[in-house]
This record gives sequence, C-alpha cells and structure tokens, in this order.
Amino acid sequence: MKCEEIEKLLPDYLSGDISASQRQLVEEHLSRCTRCRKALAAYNEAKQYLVFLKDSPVPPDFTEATMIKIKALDTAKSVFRKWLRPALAAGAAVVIFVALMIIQPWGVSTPEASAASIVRNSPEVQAALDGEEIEEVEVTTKVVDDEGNVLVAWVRTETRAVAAEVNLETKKVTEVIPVDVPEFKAGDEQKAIDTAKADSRVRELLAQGAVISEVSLGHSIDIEEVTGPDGVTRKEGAVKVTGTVFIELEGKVWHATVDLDDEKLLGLAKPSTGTIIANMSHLIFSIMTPFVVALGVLIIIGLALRNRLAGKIASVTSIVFGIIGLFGGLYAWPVGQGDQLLALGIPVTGLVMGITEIRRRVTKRWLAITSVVICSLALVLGIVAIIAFLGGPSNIAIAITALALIGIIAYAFYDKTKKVSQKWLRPALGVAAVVIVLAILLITQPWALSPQSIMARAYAATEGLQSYRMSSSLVSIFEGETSEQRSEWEFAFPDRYHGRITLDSEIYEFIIIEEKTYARDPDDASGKLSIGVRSAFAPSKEYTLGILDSLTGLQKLPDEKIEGTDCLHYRGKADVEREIEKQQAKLDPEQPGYEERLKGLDALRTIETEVELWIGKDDFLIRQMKSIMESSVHGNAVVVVKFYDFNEAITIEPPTAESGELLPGWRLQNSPQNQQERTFSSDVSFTTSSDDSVHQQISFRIVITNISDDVVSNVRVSLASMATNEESGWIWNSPSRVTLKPGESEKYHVRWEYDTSQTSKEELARLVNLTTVLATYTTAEGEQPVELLFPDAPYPSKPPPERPPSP
Amino acid sequence: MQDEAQVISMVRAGNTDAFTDVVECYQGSIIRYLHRLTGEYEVALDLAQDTFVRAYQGILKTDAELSLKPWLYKIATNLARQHHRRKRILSFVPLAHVKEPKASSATDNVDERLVIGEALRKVPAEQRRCIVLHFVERLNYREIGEILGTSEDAVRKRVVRGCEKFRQAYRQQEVR
Repeated sequence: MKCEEIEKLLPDYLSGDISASQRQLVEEHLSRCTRCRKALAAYNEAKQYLVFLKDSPVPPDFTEATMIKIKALDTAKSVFRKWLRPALAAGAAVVIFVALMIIQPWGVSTPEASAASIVRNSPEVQAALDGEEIEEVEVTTKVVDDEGNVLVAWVRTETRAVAAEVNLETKKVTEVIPVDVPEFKAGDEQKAIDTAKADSRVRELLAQGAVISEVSLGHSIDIEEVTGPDGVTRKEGAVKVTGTVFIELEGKVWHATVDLDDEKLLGLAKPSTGTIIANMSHLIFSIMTPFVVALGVLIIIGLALRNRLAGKIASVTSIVFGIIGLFGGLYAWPVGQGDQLLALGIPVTGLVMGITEIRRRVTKRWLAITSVVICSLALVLGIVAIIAFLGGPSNIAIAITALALIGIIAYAFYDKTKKVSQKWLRPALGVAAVVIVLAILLITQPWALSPQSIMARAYAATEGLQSYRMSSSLVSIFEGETSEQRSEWEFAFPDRYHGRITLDSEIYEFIIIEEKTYARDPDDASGKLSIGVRSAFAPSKEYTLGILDSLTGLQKLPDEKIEGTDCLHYRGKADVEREIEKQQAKLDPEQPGYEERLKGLDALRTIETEVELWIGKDDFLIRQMKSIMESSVHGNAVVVVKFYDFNEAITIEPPTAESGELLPGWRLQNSPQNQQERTFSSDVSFTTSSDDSVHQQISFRIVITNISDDVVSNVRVSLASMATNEESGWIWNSPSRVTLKPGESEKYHVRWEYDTSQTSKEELARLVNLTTVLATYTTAEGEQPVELLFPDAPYPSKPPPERPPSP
Repeated sequence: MQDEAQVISMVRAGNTDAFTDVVECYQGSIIRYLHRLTGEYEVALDLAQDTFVRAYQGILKTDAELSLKPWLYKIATNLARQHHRRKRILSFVPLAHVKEPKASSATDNVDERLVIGEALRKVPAEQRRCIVLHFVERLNYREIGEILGTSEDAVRKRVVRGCEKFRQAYRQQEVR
C-alpha cells in the first residue's frame, strides 16, 4: 500500500476507529516506512498541543452587540428596501398595462381593424341603425385619396344595413348611407366558379392542374355621388355580391375575386411567401403580445418577491419570450409601428426576467443564462429593425446596444463575494459570449433578409399596386448601330395602360383599356414604324412580376438612393429556360410556321439577361430596373425603367368625345373579341427552303378576302419583320392599292433570299417569328383603319407581357 | 437552543429576536475558530460578528433547509479567507501600514499557548483550516469537507500534512 493511502488512515488509526485488517495494514506499513512514522508522530503531537489550546474568550456583550447590528440592518431594510423592488415592479406593471390599454398596439396595425372599431363606436352609425344591435361590420373597399385612407365599411343588424365611410386620419365616420344588402342566392357559389372559369388566366391555371378548393361569398359597396332631379347631390351606396374562388396549385392558393352581378373577374392574386410571413408575424403580435407582456410583468413581480414558482416559470417563459422576440425582430418591422415597439418590449421583459433570475439564483442558472442570451439577441434585432425603420444609422445603434448589453450581462454575473480572479471570470465569460454572438450577428446580418424573400416581398408589393407611372429607355446596339426608344407608361388597376413612345423623335401614343387598344400615330407614320412601335417595350405589371419571379443567382449590392428613396440593390440573371418554356406553351402547333417559331424561340438561348433591381427599403416597391441583354445573334440592349407615382390617382379614359366618337388622330385597334368587326379574313402561310446551304429562301403567301358587307378601297398590304437593321429586316408594301367588294379576294406572294453566310439561321427563324402582316384601307365612310392579318393573335390587348424586350 | 428549524422559521417569519439563540449557541466556537485561523483575537471578534450578520441575511434570502453549524463555519471560513486576502493586498500598497500583531514568539516568558498559536499561523491556510476544524472544533471529516467545499479524502490529507508543518514550526519556535 502507498504512503498516501496510509496517511489517510492515520487519524482513524490513532483514534481507534479502524477495522482490524486496516489496522494491520497500517502497522505493517509503519514498520517499514520512516516517513509515515514521522507523519504519525506529527499528528499525535499536533493533537496534543492543539487540544491544549484554550477556548478563546467570548466578550460578555458579544451577543448584544451582534443583535444590535442585525436589528439596525433589519429595520433599515424592512421599511424601505424590503418593499422597494416589489413596489417598483408593481408600478412598472401598472404603467405598462395602462400604456397598453391606451395605445392598444394590437388594434391599430391594420387600417381595416381600426376602421371597423371606429364604425362600431360611431354615434352616427348607431343613429342610422336606430340603436339596433350591430351584428357584423365588414370593411369592403379601400379608397386612397388626398384626405388619407378612406375605407368603406358596411354594418348590418338583423333587419337593416348601412354603408359607412371612414376617414382614417380624422378617425371619423364621414358618411352613413342606408343600403339594401342583396341576399346570397342558391346558385351564387356555382356562378362565382363559372365566372372565374370564364377568365383565360384562371383557365390556364386549371389547365396546369390547379383545383378549386373553396368558394366564399361576400359583398362590396360602391359609394357614388348622384345628382337627383332636384339638383341636390347625394351619395348612394350600391352593394354587389362578390365571390372569392380559391384555386390551389402546387401548394399556392390563388384568389380570384369575381363580381357576381356583372359576371366578371375583378382580380386574380397569388399570396407570396413574404405576405404569409408578414401576416403570421402580425397575427402573433396582435393577439399574443398583451398577454405575453402581462405574463412577463407578473413573473417579474414574483421574482422580486423571491417566489420559487415564479422563478421556474420565468426561466422557461423568458426563453419563449426571447424566441418570440427574435421572430419579431426579424419579421415585425415591415408590418407596423405598434409591432416594432412590442418587438422591443418582449425581449426587454425576457431580459429583465433572466437577469433577475441570475442575480437572485432562484432557479437553474443555465436556463436563465440561455434566456438572457436569446433575449439579448432578440433585443439587438428589434433595435436594428426600429433604427432601420426610422432610417437612422444602424451601426451606431448596434454599438450602443452592444455596450449596454455587455454592461447588463457583466452585472448579471458579477458576484462580489468571490475571489478576485473568480469575481470577474463569469462576467468576462458572459461578455465574451455576447461579443461573439454580436460579431456573428453583424457578419451574417440575419435581419438583412435573403434576396429571395426580398423578391417575394417585392412581388407582393408590386402585385398590390393600384396605379403607378414609369419611364423607360431602351438602347440597343446591333452591329455597331445604336438606336434608342423612350417611353412613358401609366398604369391604373386593373387593366388600363396609357403610354407615349418616342421613336426617332416621333411620338406614338397608346391607351389600352381592358381589351381595347387605342392608338395615335404621328401624322406621317409609315407601316414600318407603326409595326415597330406596336411591340414596343412596355413593361406591364405582369412583365415586372415575371422578372421578379424568374431571377436566379441573386446578389446583393450596396444600397443606393433612387430619386431620394433608400433602395436595396440586387443583381440577378433572367432564367432563359423558364422563359422559353413559357413561350413554347403559348404556341399553337396547328398554326402555320409552328416549327419555325419554335426554332426562333431557341434563339432566345443566346440572350444573356442581367437584371439589376432597386427596391424601396420601406415599401419593397421597385423603383428602378435595369436589364442588360447580350446576345451574339440579337446584339446588345440596355433597358432602364424607373417606377414612380405609386398608388396615386391616375385616371385613364378612352380617347373619345362625349358622343362616343374617337377624338381626332386616334384609332381603335382590332381586338380578338371583336371578330365580327373584322373586315378581312386572311390566309398567311410561309415556307423556308434550305436546299441551298448558302442561300435560304423565305416565301410568304398572303390571301385576303373582304368579309364585310361594305366595299373597301385603297387596300394595301404591308409585311414587316421586327428587326431594326436594314440588312436582315423586311419591309414590303403591296405595289398597288386595290378595291375589294364584299367577298372579293386578293393574293400576294412575297419572297426573300438570304445569304446564310452573312445572317445566321437562328436570326432568320427569329425574323419569321416576329413578322407581321397588315392591311390598310379606306372605308365607305372615309375612315382609314389598319387591320392585322398575321400573326393570328392580333394587336396585343396590352403591352406584350412576358416577352423580353428585343432589340 | 431550541430546535434549529424552528428558530429559522421564526426568523423568517420576522421574529429577529429568535436569532439571539443562534448567536448565543455558536459564538464560542465561531470566535475560537476565527481566532485560530487569523491568529488575531480582535479580528476574530469582528469577523465573528460579520458571520452572524451574514447568516441572518442568508436565512432571509433563501427558503432552503439549512444546517446551521456547518453553514456558520462556512461563512466564517470565507470571511477569514477574505480578510487574509485584503491584508495581503494592503501589504502591497506601500503607504498602508497595516498593524501586524507582533509575532509574540520571541518573548522570554513564553506562554505555551502563544507558541502553539504562532506555530499554527505558520501552517498554510488551507491545512490550518483543516487541522483547526479537526482538532479544535472536533468536526468529522465529512463536515469539514462540506464546510470547505472539498472531499473527505482531501481533508484527511491536509490534516496529516498540516500536522507535519505544525510540528516543524513548533520545533523551530522552541529552538529560538
């Protein structure tokens, strides 16, 4: 046995508290080991001497003096200190509660909820309903005008209904109008489905395998000013039955809203991920926050009173608070100001709880430490979010927050009863942990959202736009030649566009209202220009959405200001394959030239499109878009589009006089819905021959027949390709103008020959793809309309949607 | 003294006077212990008073079950340790003349007890605590281990080593 083992046994050996076997072991060892014998002697000696030490005398007044000290301490504490913390905590609880009740942050976040509560409590509404109990308040229409947000709500009791107009700025009901509310009828739901199905976009969705998952019926109210026979202007409300059809495709739910009275589709919307997250965040904050904060306050009071149960609940609760706070910090900020305040309130409450736990040692430390770490994170995120919202310098804010947090953590762990080295060990570790976490945060910047989610938000924001203006410039360079096209467009929901396109210093104007396209050409417009302009680059809302949806390889660039607005700046590439698939799906194999068109689409693969986007930091609306297209076949082009005047009152009316006649200079272009209005039926076919490897021939056969009941004169057929360069583009006009009686036909044959060593086959396929044939003529009334003969899809009803701009 | 648990619950209920019993009961051992640890009677008195004040505050701070005796020793040990440390820190400050009790060793009329006390002060603090608690306070190894926050085995070892140190110190003083 080792000396060490024996040493331990020595005291017991001396006192005799040892087993016989151990005793033998010790004695045997002692007989051999001098060191241990010495140790034993020392022990024995010490024992004798130390026992010899007398008790230290106790001074007679020791107890009294000690008790006086204790009592002094006690009274000082019992009166003031003992109740100071609980009183402060209770005071804070009351203040927070009162503040919550006054601000009602969970109520103001949506204008709709706010409007509903104003309507409910309005004496005017009560009076109009003769004090009957309000059964339902539904906000139906949102109008934005100069006076701020105005919402129209309809209020229903058992027997009557009124429409109320609410001004959100003054928080007053400005108008109360009695309305008749139509009841839902038995077939209404089917009617809603049928109406939705009548729309081509819905049909397309259904063709892709979408299913109608739900139909819900509702009402919408229009308030109109009506001047009665007595000359007095009154407001009248008309209630319509509307239906919402939910169409589910690949996990996404589209909402088709239909007007059941007019049987038309009012809108088709797809909720994006961004919207869903924002809605969820809003839900959590609006419903849970008051309870969460109240619970936190109660727990803090419990901790101040040193309640063990409170400590246990606090540990878990403050971790939950931290997690909710993290969520809030990440997602609450685009929702509303009330939410932002709470994004701070929750982590602060959690942090106070965690630190109180650590200082008080009421519960397990690791739980409390976890909660402090999570809540600190949440707090930093919340502060960054608010600073970002207010537009302040986020770096300084982060630095100040970090310092404050470091101080708080050091305080939480500082324990003055420990040794100097230990005293600062834990605070130092705590601070180091915070610093590491902050560093990770600053590097990864989780609040800076992923580019994909920014795109989703931009998509949702753009989708929700009621109106906007934009100006675009397209500069194309093809074989060294530069041409520029500028255009300005206005858009008003749902289907109205107004554009002015400047090409070679001539201005072309378009007004597109739903399916009708009105055009005004410069006085001496030739066929070429007219055709070129017709497919002018006009980024419609759908086009913009298409781009947002198709960008790949997104890259964040430094933020920039566009016209005074802070913008996020991204760069990405357009997904060409996806675009080609989309276009292919639109082609009809029955159409002549299908193969050539398909080949033409292949040429798109040579285009590389780089898109830069500037997205408003606060509203996620696109402020500027720049596409740079590079193609060996098509040349290069740069398109810059600026967007502005979002949701401003933009009125787009048809260019007609009161009588309904077109204003001078304007003409109404054909539309597919007006087949019966067509003057000509046409048969356009083309062939390409490639017998000769160098010389390729393209020939068109055009037959037009007058199918109207009138004689038309001055008929002239023009054929043009889209290409702008003279080398490969075509312009052909029929050599003579003819007169066609009803039923009469005319044939044309146009042929081109190409040197394919100069022009690529892809380019030729593309030229065919983008060829148009027009007929101009004079009617019996002397009008000079233009009719499109080829392609079969006539003038686009709105600026071409998904087609990328072509040089 | 009445039942410990009863006294504690009375104190917690706000009866400060109940704590008098605790002071009465343990003052002797705590003063003696601190005296042996620090070697200074006046200091031991001050620290003992602090020990009881701390204990009183501690009773109010927690509602855990307390075993008073080891707990008091624990507080006393910590206070002595703190005192020792402060003294050491002060000795590094040149202008702070700390009144060290004269090593009363070399007086001709050697009081045996003083020699023993002086020898004890030469034993390293860690071992000194153990031998005082063991020989003077007659606590068992488990209790000592609890008070000092260490294992029983460690206490045994420290006791044996401490005895050797004590013996050396004691012999040296006798020689002088």
